[in-house]
Order: sequence, then structure tokens, then C-alpha cells
Amino acid sequence: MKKDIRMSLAAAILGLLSLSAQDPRVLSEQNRRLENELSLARKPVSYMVIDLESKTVTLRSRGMILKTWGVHRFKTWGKPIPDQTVKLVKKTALSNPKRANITPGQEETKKKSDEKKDTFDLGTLELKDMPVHYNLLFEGNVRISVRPRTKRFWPALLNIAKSVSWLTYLPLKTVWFSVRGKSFTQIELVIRSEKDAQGIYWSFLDGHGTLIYR
Amino acid sequence: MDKKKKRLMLVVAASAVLSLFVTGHGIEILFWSKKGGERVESINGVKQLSAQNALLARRLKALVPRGKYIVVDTAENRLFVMNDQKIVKEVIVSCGSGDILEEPGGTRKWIFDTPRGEFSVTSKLVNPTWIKPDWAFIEEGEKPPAEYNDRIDNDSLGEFALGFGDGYFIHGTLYTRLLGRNVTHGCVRVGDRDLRDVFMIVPMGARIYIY
Repeated sequence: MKKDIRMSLAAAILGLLSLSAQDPRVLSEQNRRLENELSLARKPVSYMVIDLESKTVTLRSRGMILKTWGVHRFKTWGKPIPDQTVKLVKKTALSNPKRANITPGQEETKKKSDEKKDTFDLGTLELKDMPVHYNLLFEGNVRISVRPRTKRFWPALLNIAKSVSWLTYLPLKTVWFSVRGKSFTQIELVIRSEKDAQGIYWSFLDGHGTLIYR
Repeated sequence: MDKKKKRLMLVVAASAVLSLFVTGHGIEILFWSKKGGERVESINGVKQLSAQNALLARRLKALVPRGKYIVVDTAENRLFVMNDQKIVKEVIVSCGSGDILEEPGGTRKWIFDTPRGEFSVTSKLVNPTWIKPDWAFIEEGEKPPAEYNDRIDNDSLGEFALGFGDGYFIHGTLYTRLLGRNVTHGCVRVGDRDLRDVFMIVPMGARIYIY
């Protein structure tokens, strides 16, 4: 009996301690995140979660993680990241991937000849055709600029150009937006690999509900 | 004199640009990046909030699919047969090509993407017959036939097929070398052996998640 009382006392003290350790701000943030994700997970469509804290981008459906990509580092500029779900308005890239047009009567012949070759380019839209540098535009003037961590010359050169524009173009844009009484949020994601950057481009669809955690 | 003027103008222009940069940075640091409106609950509400969070987390967990279901990664051309959160089988498949077919002289247009989202297995067929749609003839440069019987194809879909709505199937293929590539008209093509396993494991009504 005495042992039981001691045990329950210890449990109560531990409970109180853990309660006091819970920061109301953290709990409030958790609450907001859970509410937002729950409202997205109730629908039969996938959604994206960009978690800057854990440096991951995840594609989810019904609360289940379908795919995860790693973020090497990130930068933010402008207004705080919105608390609510934001929808992807459009994806832009220097060269957007183009769909091939089928010429009636020639497709089957082409496939059969491709079958015989050792390596072949089908001319279809595949992951390798996706851009590695691109922008994701969301509602509420939220823009995410995506680039990969790379050692290849041209993508690396583009990365330098993007870093310079972050320091030069963004301040000017800020002044221009302020004059017009508007504001924006800019995030730059450096993705761990080119393939991951392409994977994110592939998976993000227009209208995709997105949660951004800071 | 001219040189002096030019130099002066250059200095003025450079100062203007520099001040714009500084102003921009100033606006960002002093006004924009300040985070406000945080919901801070009182200590008394902590317990309630904590309980509410636990409830929300449970509700979210309850939405996670259970039992057997299929996940298709169209970028990597992979199909996963899942049981709860475990992978039972991983299969190399072929998904949609993303190609566009326009009807010559017509108004119809088809985009051969594998649809993305949540679906369910609506039919399970053994030795399936493909009723060729109009685009299958147009693609081959032929006129779509008026006779139903002329549309029947018993060879293309393989031994089994799992339908998931709107004429889309997970089915077999004659083009096994193209597995792992994006080549289909929207269906998910699977190699014969793998298809048999998928067919046997996955029940009718099972969920399919395509991304």
C-alpha cells in the first residue's frame, strides 16, 4: 500500500514537472501546426510540409509521410512566414520542362526502335528533365527560391548569382514593395542534391496546400 | 569641369543605390521580420492545451492508412505495397509519359500523365481485356472504329489488372525493358511476376496513393 502511494506521488511530481517544463508558446505553436495539418490531412489530396527547423521538405497524405527531401541550408527575408496553409500558385524556372507532342502514326515505330537500343532517350517527361533552380510562388506573396548544393560548374555559377541577388535585388524589392504598401516573404532553400531539387519540383503541383514551419 | 561633373554624378548615383540597399535592409530588419501576434496561453491553460494537442495528434494518427495499400512514386517509377507503415514489396514500374496527343483536324487533346492523389482499387481482373479508347487509334494514325469489337485487345494488359477509376489500371506490359521509365499513357505498368504478387496481396477497395 505504502509503495503504491509513493509510486503515485512520484508520478504526480513527474507530471507536474513535465507540465511546468512545457512552454505555453511551444504548446500553442504545436496546437496551430496540428490543427493546420489535420485540416489538410482530412482531404484526399497530398500536401507539403517545409520544416526549416528540421531542414526537411516532406510530401504527406492523410498524415503519412510519402517522401522526404533534405535541405542543406536556408535563408529567410521579409515578413514572418505565414501561420496558415499557403497554396502554391505556380512554379517558375529559367527553362521550364516541356511536354513532347506525339505525332500520330510514328509513336509505336519509335518505341519499338528504342527498345532495341542499349541506351535511349524517350523524349518523355522524366525526373531528370526537371529543373534544379526554380521558384515556388505561393499565395500571400510568399516566394521560395530553390537551388541545389552542387559542385558542377554552371549550377554553381548560378548559385553565386543567386547569392548576389539576395544581397542586392531583395533590398531594392523591399523598398519598392514598401512604397506600394505591400510586403513579401522570401525563403531560399539549398537542397542537398540536384536530384532532390528535381524531386521537389516534380512533386509540387499547382494548388498544393503547403505548411511552412520555422 | 566635365570630368568633375561626371564624377559627381557617379558618386550621387552610387550613394542613391547604396541608400536604397540600406533602406531595404532597414525595413526588413526593423519592421518586416518582427514576428508578432503569437498566441501565448496562460499557465492555467497549459494543461488544457496539452490535452488538446494530444487529442489532435491522435486524430491525425487515426487518418494514417492501415492494412494493405499501394503507394506509387511516379518520379522514380516505383510501386510499394504497404502493410500499415511497412513496405511489403517494392516494384519497378512505368508511369505516365507526360506526352501530349492532339487529334489531327479535331479539338480533342490528351495529356498522358498518371493521375496523382488518393484512389482505391475499384476492380481486380484476371486476363483483362483492354477496350481501346479513341486516343489509342489516333496515336497510331488510325481512325477510331465505330464497331465495339474492333476495340478489343486481349494482349496488352498482361495477366492481371487492378483498376483505380477513370479507365486507369495497374497492369502488365509487353515492354519490360521500359520498366523504370516514364512511358505510359497514364496507367501503371508492372512486370509479370511482380504484377502477380501485387494482385494477390492487395485486396479490393485498398487505397492507392500516387505522387
